[in-house]
Amino acid sequence: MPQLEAWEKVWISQDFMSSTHGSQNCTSCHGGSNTPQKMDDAHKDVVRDPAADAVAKCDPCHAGYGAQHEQSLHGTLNGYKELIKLRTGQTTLSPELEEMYTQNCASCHTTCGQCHISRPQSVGGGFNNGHIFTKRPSMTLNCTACHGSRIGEEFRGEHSGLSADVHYNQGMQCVACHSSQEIHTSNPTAKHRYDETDQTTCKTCHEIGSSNTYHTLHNEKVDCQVCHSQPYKNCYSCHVGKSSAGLQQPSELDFKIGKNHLKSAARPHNYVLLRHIPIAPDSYEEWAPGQMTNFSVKPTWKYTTPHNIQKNTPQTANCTSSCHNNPSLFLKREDMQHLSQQEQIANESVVVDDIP
Amino acid sequence: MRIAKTIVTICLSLWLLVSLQYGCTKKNPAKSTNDNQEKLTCVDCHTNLDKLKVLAVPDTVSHGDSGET
Repeated sequence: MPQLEAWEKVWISQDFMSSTHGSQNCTSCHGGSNTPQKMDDAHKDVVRDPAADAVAKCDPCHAGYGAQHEQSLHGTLNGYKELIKLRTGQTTLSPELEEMYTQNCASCHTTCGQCHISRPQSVGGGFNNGHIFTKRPSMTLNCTACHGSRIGEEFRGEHSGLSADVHYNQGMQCVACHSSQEIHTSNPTAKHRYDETDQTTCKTCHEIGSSNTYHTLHNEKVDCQVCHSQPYKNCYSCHVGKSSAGLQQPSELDFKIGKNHLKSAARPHNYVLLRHIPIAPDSYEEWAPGQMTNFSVKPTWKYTTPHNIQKNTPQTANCTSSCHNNPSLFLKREDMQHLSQQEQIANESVVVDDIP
Repeated sequence: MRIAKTIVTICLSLWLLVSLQYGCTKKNPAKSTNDNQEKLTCVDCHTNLDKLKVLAVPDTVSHGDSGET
């Protein structure tokens, strides 16, 4: 997404001025002085993103949302932090890991304003629409500004030879499925997005009747995406190095069915799709040498729900040649032979030994 | 005699140059950036595209095209 010019980022429209928020004094949120000032003086002590203190700035009018956001995964980034703790065996991160986290992962932290007013700071910021507050964040300017290289590209069909998600083609945006309750958190103790209790699933909209034999046979055993997704992006290392060398191993499109390591009442399936996440045994080496002591504690091929759904895919063509006689679709031990011993141990719980 | 004249001329020239420089500096002291600035309210500036195009300064931190890479 191209960045805005400096002046575009801070331009306030007349529509904002006549809105509810526009009727407030600028200083009531941003601090500083409301009397005529020279530019340098006017910007002294100005708070650029007041919503960073959501409880103080947003909650007086939007009761509870700020506090809720601060407990959400977008607010806490527990998804990242928890995995760093697990893979290093540290309950409190060492100063080196804390610095790595702050310099890299924490840049994805977002505030109320970075979804409802401006683009996220991690992509340069700037008002979406003249400072106008929007109840529903923009898919392009907000959601996929951060969740772009996997979710965004897959959803919009930007990979050569692959189609856009059928929901995208119907004009649906992220918020059509990802509710306010989910994004602001339905589970303050969540350490992973699948820990949220209020999530939309396929079955929220699509009733699984008895007329489709495939659905009857596979329901509860095979996740919907196994049949209805296309290949998706897998990453094998991460941009957390101090150098600008970037990824050690490029991402690639792949499609792997594996065992469900996150089985729950909401996700009871035996077989799900797995995506290799951007982690390698040496990912933290430049920041904290030797501290990733527990790499194998969690799979590196993780439960995934790709956003490139189609009614008809190669898997739905027919039963025998599409899936049941097609070991290449499953994550097998030989698929990991080129990876480290630690990777092979990490994925013991998801690898498929007996192809169904 | 000729050498003395030349030395006097050089000295006078230097004195004149220094004096004029000092005088100019005193009469037109360099104004700070802040002093040149117009006094405006937040709204005066932030709703005025023409002013912003002149005054807005790009961030020094560079960002990528996508937060999730």
